[in-house]
Amino acid sequence: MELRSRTTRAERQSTGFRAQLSEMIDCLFLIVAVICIYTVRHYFFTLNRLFGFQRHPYVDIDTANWPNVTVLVAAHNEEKVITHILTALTEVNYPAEKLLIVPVNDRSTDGTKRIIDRFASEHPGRIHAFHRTGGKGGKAAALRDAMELVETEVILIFDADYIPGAGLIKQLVAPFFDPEVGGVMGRVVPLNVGRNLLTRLLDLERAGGYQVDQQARMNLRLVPQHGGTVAGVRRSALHEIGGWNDSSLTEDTDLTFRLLLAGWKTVYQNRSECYEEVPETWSVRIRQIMRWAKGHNQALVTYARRLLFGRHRAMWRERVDGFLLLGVYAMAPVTLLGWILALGVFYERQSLFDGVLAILCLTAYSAVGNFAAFFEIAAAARLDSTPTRIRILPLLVLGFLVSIVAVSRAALSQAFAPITGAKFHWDKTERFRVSS
Amino acid sequence: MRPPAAIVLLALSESVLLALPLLPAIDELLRKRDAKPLEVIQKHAGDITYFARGFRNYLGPLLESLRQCTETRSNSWGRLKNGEECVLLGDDRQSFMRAANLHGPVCEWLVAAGINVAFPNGLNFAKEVYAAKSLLSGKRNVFRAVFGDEDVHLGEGSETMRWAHAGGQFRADSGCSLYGRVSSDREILLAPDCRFQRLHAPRIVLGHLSKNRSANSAETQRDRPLARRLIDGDFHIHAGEVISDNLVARGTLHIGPGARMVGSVKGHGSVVLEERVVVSGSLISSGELRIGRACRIGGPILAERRIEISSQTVCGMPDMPTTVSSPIVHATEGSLFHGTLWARETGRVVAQQ
Repeated sequence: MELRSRTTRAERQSTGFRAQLSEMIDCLFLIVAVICIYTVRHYFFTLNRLFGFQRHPYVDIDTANWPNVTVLVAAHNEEKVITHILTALTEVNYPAEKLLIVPVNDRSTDGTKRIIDRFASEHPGRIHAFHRTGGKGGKAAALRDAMELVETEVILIFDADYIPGAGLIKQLVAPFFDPEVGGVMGRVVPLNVGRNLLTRLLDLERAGGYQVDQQARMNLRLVPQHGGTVAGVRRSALHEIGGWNDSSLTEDTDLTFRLLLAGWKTVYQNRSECYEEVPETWSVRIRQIMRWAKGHNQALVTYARRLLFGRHRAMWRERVDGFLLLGVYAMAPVTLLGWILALGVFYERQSLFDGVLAILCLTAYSAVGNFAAFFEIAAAARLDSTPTRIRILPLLVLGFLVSIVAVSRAALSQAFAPITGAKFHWDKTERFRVSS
Repeated sequence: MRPPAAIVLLALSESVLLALPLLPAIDELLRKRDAKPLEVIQKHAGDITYFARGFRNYLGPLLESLRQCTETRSNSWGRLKNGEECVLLGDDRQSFMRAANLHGPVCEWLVAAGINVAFPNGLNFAKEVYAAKSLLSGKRNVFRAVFGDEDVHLGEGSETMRWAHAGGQFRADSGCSLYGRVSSDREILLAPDCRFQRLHAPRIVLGHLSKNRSANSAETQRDRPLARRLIDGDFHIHAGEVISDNLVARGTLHIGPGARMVGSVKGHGSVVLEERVVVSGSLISSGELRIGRACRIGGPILAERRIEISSQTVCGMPDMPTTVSSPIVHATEGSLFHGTLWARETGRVVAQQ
């Protein structure tokens, strides 16, 4: 009797374990399927960029009755870099009488205010300083407040560490002649590439992201992402969608999707290149990518359902691509979970098939899946005619591992925020340039 | 071999094997051969005259010698800093063939003329040509590049391979092929059957302008923003209708004769403008764009595939030049442009039927 009871309990435990294992395998299948979708997406974008038709519809507009433009330069403790961008902006070839530069000094405690005021006094009528001493933190909140100075239909936005070239303003304004364009994004090019391993890896990442990913989405009429810097927005479109969302950690992603839902296009201009400074230390990089991940995931929660199933003006292909774009930062914890599950299934296998399956899954998406991103970056280096820097590519595994952990950590802290009571806060990216 | 030593050896050999693929990366990381920022065009801003002005500056050291040749009515030879030879023309009494010491159809040196210069037919200039006064080419001349401080006139069937710039009027007779950039500070006149790529001038006339051109102008779009009308699918605007908004049709767009668009217009499919349509803002098509006779367009005109422009149509205004751009542009003679006319692949002046 006792023996039978023990046997039954063991059978029940075994059945429960089998069910659990089966769930793990199902979950693993799901994860691999999702990763496969992203893998295909990566390859598709890269092949399109290498062999497809390239769209640069606005790049030829070199003569026009250029509209009035306001350039907002977001600056929070930017004394190391603000001089460079303000100098560069005063030297652009845009008609001076049509260009208003507004440095948005967001509660700076260093010498930013002094530098901005000096520029404003040297260029009266061209540079109009906006000093913000209180209010909610973050770039979106600062831009929202600075809108009181904006009277033009076209608004361009730069972070303070960027250095625009002479023709960049015209290039970024040109797409706004298209009445369907609500947002414009230019290409970001790292300036401090040779500093160390991190800057070199970030240079490759940026190349892949812009030269291939963004341009392919432009080619395929999908959803190029507004990056919030080297970028522009149409004021009436911004007004229509409710202005800057100061509760978002990544106002650029938020803007991309609100514009999309309202039927406005965000376009990418690959030839509108602008130098930026990338983080030079891993701690700064981790903080930066964690903020991006949180902001992006915030947008995923807010817009994913509405984007896919809601009644709005986005087309079907934009819905699908937009949804995948929203999910890019969620993929890091998903991949991590996949690894854990695969190992779990392998060691807890009930049959040979389970273990082999797990190993196959693990190998497949660790090799082919992740290789897609590497392929994309290698293609970008080729398109940029910088073949020697491809040699660094294998070391990108390091950056990838750091990112996957940092992004997963961000996602976890975000998921548990309602329990832990942690609040979102804006992390300013530290600058490394020697001030002049 | 003892087991610990074997383990160490194994670990070492494994490490070496693992590190092998990383050697090029580590080498590049240490030697920094390709660690400069990507080159970004910071200065020239895509100005169409960039190469022409650069050439003018490059010639600078020879200009004094050229002036002396002109004053003394003599021809001479000069040499630039990089050793390039240049024939300096200052004597209008001597034939070009003799002055340049040419015995065949190919001129292999740079030519700088301080006088009005005329070239014989069928010459091929392998290097750039500069003219301080007017330049008249013969028929079927081939130029690598031409810079004229004053007027430049290309004879029938001539070609420019890279760029051409005229301080005065630039004129090309029928059958000319103008590859690359052509600019003028005053006016470009192209005869029927000319082919072109990128043209820029305050006034670009294709063929002969009709004397009875209609006077309706494309009053420019005001700076205040207009509302946007977004239409899913095809859209038709009736003859004479006035639309006061910016208009986006996510299908084909047909605009009837005499309609007036106060704002900008875009169609995802083909866009057809019947005759006498006025568009004050920009006109954009994601496909093909057909502009009928005697239309007036104020803003930029873009089509991602092809543009066809009928006669008597005017794009841009003298005080508000604009850009017309598409991979393929076919413009019928009698059309007028102010600003830039850019055919990425091929542009053609079509003779009027």
